[in-house]
Amino acid sequence: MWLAAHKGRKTDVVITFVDELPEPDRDALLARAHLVMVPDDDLLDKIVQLKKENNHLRSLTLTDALTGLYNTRFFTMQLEIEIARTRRTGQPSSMMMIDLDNFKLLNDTMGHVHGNRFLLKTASTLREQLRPTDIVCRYGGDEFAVIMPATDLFDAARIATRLQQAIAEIPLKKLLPISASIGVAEYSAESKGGSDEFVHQADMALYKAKKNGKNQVFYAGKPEKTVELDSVTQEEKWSLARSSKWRLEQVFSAAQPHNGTDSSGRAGLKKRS
Amino acid sequence: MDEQIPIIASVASGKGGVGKTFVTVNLAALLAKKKKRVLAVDCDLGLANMDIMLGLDPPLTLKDVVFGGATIRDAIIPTKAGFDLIAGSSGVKEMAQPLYEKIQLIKDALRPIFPSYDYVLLDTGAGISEMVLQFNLLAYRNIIVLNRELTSLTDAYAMIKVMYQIFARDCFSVIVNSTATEKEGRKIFSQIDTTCRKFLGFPLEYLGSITSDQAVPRSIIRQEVLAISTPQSLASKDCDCITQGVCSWETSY
Repeated sequence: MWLAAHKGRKTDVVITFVDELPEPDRDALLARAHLVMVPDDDLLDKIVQLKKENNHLRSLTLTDALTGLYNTRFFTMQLEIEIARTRRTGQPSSMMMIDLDNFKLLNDTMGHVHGNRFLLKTASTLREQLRPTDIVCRYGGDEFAVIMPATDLFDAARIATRLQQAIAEIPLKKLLPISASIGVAEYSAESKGGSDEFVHQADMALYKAKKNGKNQVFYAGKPEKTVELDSVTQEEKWSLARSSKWRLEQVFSAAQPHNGTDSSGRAGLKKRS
Repeated sequence: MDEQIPIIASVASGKGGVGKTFVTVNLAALLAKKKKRVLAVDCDLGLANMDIMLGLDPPLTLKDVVFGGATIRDAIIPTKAGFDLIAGSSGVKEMAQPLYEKIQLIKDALRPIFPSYDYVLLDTGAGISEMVLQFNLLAYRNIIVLNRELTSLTDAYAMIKVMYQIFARDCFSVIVNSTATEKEGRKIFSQIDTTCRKFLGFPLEYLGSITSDQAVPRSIIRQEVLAISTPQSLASKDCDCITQGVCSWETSY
């Protein structure tokens, strides 16, 4: 006994016992059915299989076949979402446009196979260097775009500089001047335009970076914070922690019976040295 | 005070729950007791609780000033302890991370009322968000509260470092809260002071320590100001000493 789930005339899903149908009708029905079950089929297996196929098909529409990064279609969708989020929360989002410098030279001298290999390396470098929340897309042949949710221009520019360095360090067999130019733009709650304007800003920044001699980062506007900040270093933490060691000893000396020597006094000496 | 400029001090810590609000409230009360005109502002706009500590139900808070168009003078509440209070808001997401302009708006609203006071104490929130930094910047004096926990020590240091790096501040006063002994307070202070001298290149001022005292949580539960309700307690006496240290700022202006 065969079962077919298909779209009915009035409802979304109708289940028909295929065996009872005349042959031509049966074939037509099987061709357009969402799901066909034969007696040996397990429903769960069948659903899992369909789900997998579905995911694969969806990934084809949203990712780039060569690099596996997101494609422009997904990028445009996600950019709208980020802009909406910024408008709602007031938290700025940033994006960058990355263009490989002299990539054509690589294709021309070493062939497209090597060119594609380099694109793959670039893609994996971007993935490694970026944060899990960043969205990396292949925007065109040798162009990449990154959406950085909840990131201001200051942080975005720093990340861009890091990427630029990482890409310049990708090893090449021949000595070719392959590097990256990056344009960064921020979308804040005060930004007037939509996604087109946002992309345009990043594009303009990229154009300036290219024009200014390539292999550099340009950003649209001025980041508010300009001071280079250092985090609290391990050395500083150690310096602070020394007292806690002293306190630990205090706790221990209070918990254990004393035998004449004052452990806190000893620790005090140690601290001074 | 001969001049119209009050002493504006922020109370910050980096880490939460080390006793910023307790210090602010008691300091404000003790200064008021010394016949000073004191204003305490709860700048913790995300999770404000100074009103809770005082057992007050403020009709207007900073939120109404920023979003509701209320004037800052309407938000001033006189307290039983003798100082004025401007309450913050709690549980309002827009206030927890206000836009830079909103912070400026609050600062601009506060400035005109400053001349009516001798002391203005700004109780900032935990963390080193833009808002906390901006209120620390508004104050001329930054009081850093920490306790015996190593994490509070590190966070306090991080706060100092950020203020130094972004705004070139190099004058901080430290209070060590809930210590076992006075000696321990000095010890903890010397540690952060040494680290500051060594890595940032400036010393810190020691305002004093507050002894761990059962009277403190008791006063908080009763929504009383410890220094007023139980002035004979150990912690109250420590607060007294700290207040004297703060008063000595007047001459150094």
